[in-house]
Amino acid sequence: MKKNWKWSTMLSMVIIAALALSACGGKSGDSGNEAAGEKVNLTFTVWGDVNASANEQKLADEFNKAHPDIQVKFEPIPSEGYGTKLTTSLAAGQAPDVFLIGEGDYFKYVEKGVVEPLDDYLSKDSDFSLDIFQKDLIDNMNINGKQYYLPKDFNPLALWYNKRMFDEAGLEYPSNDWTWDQLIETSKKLTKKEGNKYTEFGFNAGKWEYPIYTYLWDHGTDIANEDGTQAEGFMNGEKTVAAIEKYVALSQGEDRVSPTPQDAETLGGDSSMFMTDKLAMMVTGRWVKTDLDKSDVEYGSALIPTGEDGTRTSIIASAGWAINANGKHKQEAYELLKWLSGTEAQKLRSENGKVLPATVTELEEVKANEVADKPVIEMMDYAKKPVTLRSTHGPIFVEEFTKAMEKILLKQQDVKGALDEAAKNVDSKIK
Amino acid sequence: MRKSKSDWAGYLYIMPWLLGLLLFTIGPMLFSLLLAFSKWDIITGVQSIEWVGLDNFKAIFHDELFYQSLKVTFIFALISVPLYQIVSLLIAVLLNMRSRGMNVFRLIYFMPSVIPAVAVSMMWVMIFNPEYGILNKALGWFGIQGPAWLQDPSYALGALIVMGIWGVGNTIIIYLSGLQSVPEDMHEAAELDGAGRIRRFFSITLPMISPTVFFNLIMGIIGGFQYFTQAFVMTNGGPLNSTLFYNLYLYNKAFQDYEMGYASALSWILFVIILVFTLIVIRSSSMWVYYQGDDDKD
Repeated sequence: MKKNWKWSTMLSMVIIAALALSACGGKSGDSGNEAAGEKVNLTFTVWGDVNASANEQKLADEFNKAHPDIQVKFEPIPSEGYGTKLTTSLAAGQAPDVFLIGEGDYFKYVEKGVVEPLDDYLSKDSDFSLDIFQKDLIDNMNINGKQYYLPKDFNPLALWYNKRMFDEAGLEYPSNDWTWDQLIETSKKLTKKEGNKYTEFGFNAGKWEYPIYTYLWDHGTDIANEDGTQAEGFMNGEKTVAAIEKYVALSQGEDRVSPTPQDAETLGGDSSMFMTDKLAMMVTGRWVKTDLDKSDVEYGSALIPTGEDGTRTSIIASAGWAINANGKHKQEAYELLKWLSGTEAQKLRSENGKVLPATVTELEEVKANEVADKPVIEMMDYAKKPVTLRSTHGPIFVEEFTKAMEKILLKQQDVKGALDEAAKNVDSKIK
Repeated sequence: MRKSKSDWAGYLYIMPWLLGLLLFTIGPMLFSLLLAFSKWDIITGVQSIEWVGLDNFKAIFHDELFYQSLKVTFIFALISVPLYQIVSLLIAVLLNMRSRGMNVFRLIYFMPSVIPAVAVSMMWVMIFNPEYGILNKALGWFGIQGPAWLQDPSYALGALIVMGIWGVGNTIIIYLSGLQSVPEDMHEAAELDGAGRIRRFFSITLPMISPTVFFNLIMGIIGGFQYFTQAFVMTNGGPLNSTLFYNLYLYNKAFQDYEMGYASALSWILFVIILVFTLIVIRSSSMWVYYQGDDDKD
């Protein structure tokens, strides 16, 4: 009896409640706001726990002080339930006025029409210019020619290495002119076996698609065409198949240098393995520092290697603030959006090096003083857009590609066969 | 018949319950029935609900994952329902013996049932861990190299079935109470006639507790078809959809793909499936369920 109806029950409760509330609450609310001296109430949300978002609370408090006629409330949502909670609250018309979206979902929310385009607000506002932000970030947040999001923070992918493991093996740290082949050669020296059991790995070639994208790009190929409308010839293109075969071989067979995704999962994931000196190198976002700094692992960062022809690529993961298109006070929400993404906010969040500032001037400052993060920041210059940032169809590509990779990595299907099937599925779903 | 005032008082008394039923069960059910014939992405609000007739059902019957989830769920139900019933009945029989410290054993067997399913699942993820888990460690003592239970598509579903045995405490309790209502004198009489333990179990105990079996079987079938939490927490349907339970697929459709209409249609199909199986059991019950004081019927 329990589970089946639980979801529909909860959902409908939300809807019924929303209907009831909007029906009886609407009028009184409107008249209330028109009355002089009434404060405009706004809410905004992020994913994560309250402790991690102390800065946002501080920004909210300061905003309230600076805007006597607006009262802002900050309501963070735990990361696991964020998407579901935001979606149901949007459906019920109870969503926050300003919310945070991750780069993988930028297109999705715009397509659903729940995010307000900012262009009109920006053009009327002469005091505020998008030029203060990193151009790449603003570009990513520009969907179909319109600006929908403003940056909160961002994390470029980079190569992270475990210094202790390199020292023990007597190897030089990864250099910035490495090619992928050099990385793999070095990984072989860092991979250790006891009996027939692997105990330490040189590199993690996992199933997460972002590092795979960079690997594919560096090998001159991609899973989709430029505007994300076709998979045939890309996802299963000759170059892609060859590159994926090479990539998969990293975690399989005699010469393996990487844990299989199963191994990695059972050993707690790549960052846990890295922290316990079981993994020497991984490609991941800068957020990993938060975990690494809690442990006593000695680590460094380097540029992601290049392909044979010198191509180097990266991806910038980012979080963007959006205005609820169905909010009641969008002009005020715009003020809040500016406050949360502007220079002061960027300064506050990057104060202790936790995140990189999304604004140009502040990032220059960080660049001048920072040593450990230099390669990470430099990786920004090589950033490319994954298919999810190029096309509304992005999720379809990702879903089919992930499914194919899972089959390949579990040795249920050969690379060519799995990718052929995936490409066919994507193209038939798009049409 | 004319309704008297006292009737109204009665309705008034059950009003809170009735309101709850209407608002939180019947209402949502009707709404989901409506949605089953509609297309709705939930994000854009109720105004975007679009009537599509039978489209959802047509699509479902061409959906590979629908059949996969159905397969997983049926395999699970087919194995787990009888397995859990037999195991819990056996344990209940043991717990029904008169011996010292029996309450301690009863407590031990029931305890897992009061732990939240999510916590239990997290614990089993650790137990099943191929590297550090105690299960493979224990197998290692006997020279057996245990598999990657939850990461291997050929073992994941089996692992979940095995794990479920651990949580049959509720069923045990119900069987236990059934066993305790079996009159002692019947056993004594049969014993005098020379019936052994096993004979007595099948000829006296089992018929006497058949209503309990009946109840547990129906609850077991419903629970088996609606399996969700553990798969959601532990495997999320993977690897390779080998643990994609029906309800998990339904949830993914609703809250990951935001296809509310499709998900509602799925839920109604499940409702019909469960209804059919429950009806089969109920219909068949006249053949094997024995109610005391019902003797004159035969």
